[in-house]
Amino acid sequence: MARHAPNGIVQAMQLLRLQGTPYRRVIPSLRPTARFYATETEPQTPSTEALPEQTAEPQLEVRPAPEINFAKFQQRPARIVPASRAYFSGNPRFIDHVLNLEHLQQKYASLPQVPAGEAPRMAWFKLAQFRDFVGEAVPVKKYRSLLKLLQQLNRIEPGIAPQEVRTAISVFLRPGNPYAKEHTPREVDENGCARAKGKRKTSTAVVQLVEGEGEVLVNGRSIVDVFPRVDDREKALWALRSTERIDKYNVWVRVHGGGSTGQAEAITLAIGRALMLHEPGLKPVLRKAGAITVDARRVERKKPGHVKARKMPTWVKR
Amino acid sequence: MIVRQFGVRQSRQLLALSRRAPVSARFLSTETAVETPVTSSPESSVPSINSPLESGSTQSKQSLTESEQRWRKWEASKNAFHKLGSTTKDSYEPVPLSASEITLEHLLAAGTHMGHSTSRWNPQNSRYIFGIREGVHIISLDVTAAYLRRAAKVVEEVAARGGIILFAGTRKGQKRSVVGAAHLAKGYHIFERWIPGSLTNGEQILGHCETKVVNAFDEELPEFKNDLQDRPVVKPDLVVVLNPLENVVLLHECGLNNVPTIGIIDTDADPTRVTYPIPANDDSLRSTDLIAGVLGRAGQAGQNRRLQDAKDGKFSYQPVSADWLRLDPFTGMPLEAEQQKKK
Amino acid sequence: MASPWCWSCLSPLRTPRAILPSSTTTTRITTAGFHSTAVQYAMPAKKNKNSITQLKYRQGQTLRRKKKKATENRARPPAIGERKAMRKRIVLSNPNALEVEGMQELSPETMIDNRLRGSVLGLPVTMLDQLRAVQAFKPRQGWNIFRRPGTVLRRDALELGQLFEKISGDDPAEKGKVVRKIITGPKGSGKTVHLLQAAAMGFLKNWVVITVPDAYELVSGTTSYSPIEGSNPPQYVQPNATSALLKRTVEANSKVLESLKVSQKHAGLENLKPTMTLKDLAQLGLGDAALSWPVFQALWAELTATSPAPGMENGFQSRPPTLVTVDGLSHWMTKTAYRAEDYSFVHPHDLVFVQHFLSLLKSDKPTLKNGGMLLYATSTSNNPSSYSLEVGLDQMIARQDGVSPTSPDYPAPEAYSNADPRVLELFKPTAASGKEGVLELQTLGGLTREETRGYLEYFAQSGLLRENINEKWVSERWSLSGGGIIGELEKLGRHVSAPAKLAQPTPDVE
Repeated sequence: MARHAPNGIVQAMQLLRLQGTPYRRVIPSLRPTARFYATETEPQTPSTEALPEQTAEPQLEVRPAPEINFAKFQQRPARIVPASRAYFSGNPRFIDHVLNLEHLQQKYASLPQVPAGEAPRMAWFKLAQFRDFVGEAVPVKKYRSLLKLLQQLNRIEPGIAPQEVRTAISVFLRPGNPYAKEHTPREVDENGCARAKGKRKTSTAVVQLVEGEGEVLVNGRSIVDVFPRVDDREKALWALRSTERIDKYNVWVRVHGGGSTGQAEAITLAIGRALMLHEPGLKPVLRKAGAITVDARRVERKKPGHVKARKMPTWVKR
Repeated sequence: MIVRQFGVRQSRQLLALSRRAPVSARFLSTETAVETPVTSSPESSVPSINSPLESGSTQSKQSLTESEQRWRKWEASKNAFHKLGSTTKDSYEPVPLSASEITLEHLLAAGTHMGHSTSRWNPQNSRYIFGIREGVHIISLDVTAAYLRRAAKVVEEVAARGGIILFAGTRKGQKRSVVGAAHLAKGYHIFERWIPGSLTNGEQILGHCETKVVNAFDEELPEFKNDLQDRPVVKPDLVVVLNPLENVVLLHECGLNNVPTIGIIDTDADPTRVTYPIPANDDSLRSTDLIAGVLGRAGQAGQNRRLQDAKDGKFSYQPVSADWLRLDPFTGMPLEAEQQKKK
Repeated sequence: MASPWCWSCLSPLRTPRAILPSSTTTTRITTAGFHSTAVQYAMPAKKNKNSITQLKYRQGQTLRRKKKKATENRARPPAIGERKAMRKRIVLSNPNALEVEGMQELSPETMIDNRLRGSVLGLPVTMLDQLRAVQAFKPRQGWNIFRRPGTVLRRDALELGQLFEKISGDDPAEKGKVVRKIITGPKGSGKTVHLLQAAAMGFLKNWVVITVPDAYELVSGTTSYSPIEGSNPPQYVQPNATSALLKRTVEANSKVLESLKVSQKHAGLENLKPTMTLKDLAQLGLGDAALSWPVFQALWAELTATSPAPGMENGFQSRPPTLVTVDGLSHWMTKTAYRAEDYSFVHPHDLVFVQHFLSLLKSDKPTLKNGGMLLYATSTSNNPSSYSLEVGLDQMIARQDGVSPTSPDYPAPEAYSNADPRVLELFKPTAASGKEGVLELQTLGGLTREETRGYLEYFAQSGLLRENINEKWVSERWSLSGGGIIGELEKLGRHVSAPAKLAQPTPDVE
């Protein structure tokens, strides 16, 4: 039988609160002193015991049991029970979702599936969003397993996928599908200015390229100021040099982060990309010159227990 | 199937050779629709009866995609031909047995008698042990059956009195039987790690989980939703543990909270940890599935009894009252707002 | 008790330590097993330091190998001053470089010839000693890579030449004018070489050229200084620096100075005779540093004299115009390294030497009465930051752009910036009086493409560049040098780089 008595902490708090009050009303029926086990035999008939108005004041005369009013009976609260069967797991909503998805997966296991690459791309919740969605602290690993389930359901052939599955998995989509919007290729804007971005090491360069006479400004300063080394300057303008376009364009650069090499090569990449917007036919030349090849190498992080990224301390015998 | 795949695979190569290869186009029929009058309208001629899509698909038949057409065709041909050449008599329907149906043969078949190596035994289990075979303890199946029936009775009575039954089986592979048993018995399940303190420190761990107020027919009464705040967390009235060895913490917490427990006790387990032991093999999934199924059925019977009582307008247990629900959970007194209203 | 002596050789035998009194146990060296005097007094055995097994306390026990000793540099270090001399040495010729055919010299005709714009004009060989004397050359200006020193005739140089032509010309409106300019520009833009060109033109036109090649030397605290008695606020003379200035002036302008006679009376220099030339006058200050400042003042008075003093009319010749150049102006706009009596820093404007040259910038009263030019250049290498100077230059730019000093757009020092009022005072607008020109600001930029081409062709003709110099290549260099900054062009010219021939643009590009 369900117990409705408050647990120890609440009782203690309740006692504390009642200490100061002059009177203390105790409702004996609400504080069962003994525990009722389900296996115990019921001492009273529940029909008489259950009515609170009867317990509140002692009954002198015995009345016959009132007629059963089913409408009223349905309105009567009987128990407080958990809302979910997974209540005791600590994250019931999550487990309910998982079980629901697993059920669907079993149910529609026979449906044909498309290869993983051809399935429609879905933007599932990020972990933080999902935690907000279910209101529970779901661990990373468990959420990954849920994502795996979702992806398997998503692989059911789009034409055949039942409505049930579609609605079930659509619950987990981020609002506003980010994959829905089309990729618009960049173009030279109405002022004849091509904007492009380049990165190298930790530097980022944003270049605006307009037709002109070969003037270069880096962060509002002369290129000579920014890159005192000739090599760096030649690198930065390599995309224009290699295509012999250096006197045809004016370059305006914003670059930040990193050192001079990184900045110079970031500018190379950015100029190469911007130049491609002006003259798409130059792409093979730029590709061959290495001006639009991205160098994705970054500094490897240092690890604990290592001296550098990979170097280990010298072995000492004892 | 293998032959067909082979045909498809090889025939592509042969076709690519651009010479007159003796490849019959029949092999390719699964890949491209063949314009023959027989297969031109398969979905109209053969109704797909067992299709799980039947309920879900809302698309009109005109706008079927190619893949769906292909699949429907396949379903139709399957429905038309899958009984061909065979007569199905008795099929195995995996419905759990009830306690009254359990026989020693069932228990033996499920391997519930297999204990552990004799060196690992717990001597407290000596009364359940039938003997030793090949260095392994054999559990006495008549004892198992008796204890299992007793446990089933316990579950049934608890369910009949509206108790909250928790099925716990945290081993790999027990998920399905645990969830199934909980579903039958209208109980609760836990198939991942039991979070220590869920009973002794429930406010912290289960405090955010939702509860609801139901009437005798287990229908939710939403008007009491606001009264559920600051209530103590729900505690189970009976815990069934399929692997007590791994859930010592759970059993300990149950002991602290006076919650009776039922557990499958293998020869290496301590039978005093649980209130109602069932001596059986807890390492075989078949064994635990069988026992979980029996207990689930028992719970189902109890729930049915309770609902039957409710139909008669009777409570087999002490229900909560609306007035009590409206009291302040901390002080046990009427809320301030209610008092104001009364004045 | 046994005797403590050996009866065979009468040497002390070993006694048990416990018996011996404590003093003998601690002080005696008892190492030898066999008794002999030599062993007694021998040093205790040294531990083998080379052994790798030798252990020390509290040290890690890793394998330590002996490191190679750094090879000792047995060469004798250069003599004192030799290094500095090497550093400051100026080489004006490279015999390996090719002689450029048809290279024209700087002359009164070529320096105003617009057709020669962009070409490199050689400095006359006879003038090199004069230019060396005024320290117009600086090391690292690339003089040592060519056969003979030469400078580009860029637009600014042409304008300069025209100014010289006008001031020493016959046009009465222009003759005797004073032009004042502050020259700024980015690094490598040729400010110092511009001063050199001015000096060369001054020599060509027989002007008197007075230079301060490095303003830093006057404020760095490396030359002697002494307060002038009775001056309030205290002012300071720098006798050695003045003496060096006189020396430069005499060496460079000896021909002009020899031709001029003393025509004034000078206080403190009573033994001057009217027959003495100005060179003799200046040389008075060379011998005695204490006299150098009065001598310089006397020389200055002679040079700016328009008419002889009464009684000294004999052989008076009209004085030529004067060119004054100062390099590194911003050093004069911050504090000096000199200390005053109260240990505060001496303001540079309290040094009479500096004050003299800075006062020439004011155009409200006649300074160079015979006309001339004042070119004061800022520097970007070894450049102290002077906020007041920046503000002053900004104000000059604003004035040249036509912004009235009373308008709100006129740049003013920021509040609480502690701008130096004496510096700001220098740059306040003054009206032009007579032939005194107003102070102007000239900003040197990069060369134009044509000038760049001429400059780089000069490199090619000297055998330094092996490129096919065409329009594209030149404009590429022009961009790489930040828009024709001549210092960067010089670097690019001597820089051997891989040609960017990798990619020819595809013909079907649209």
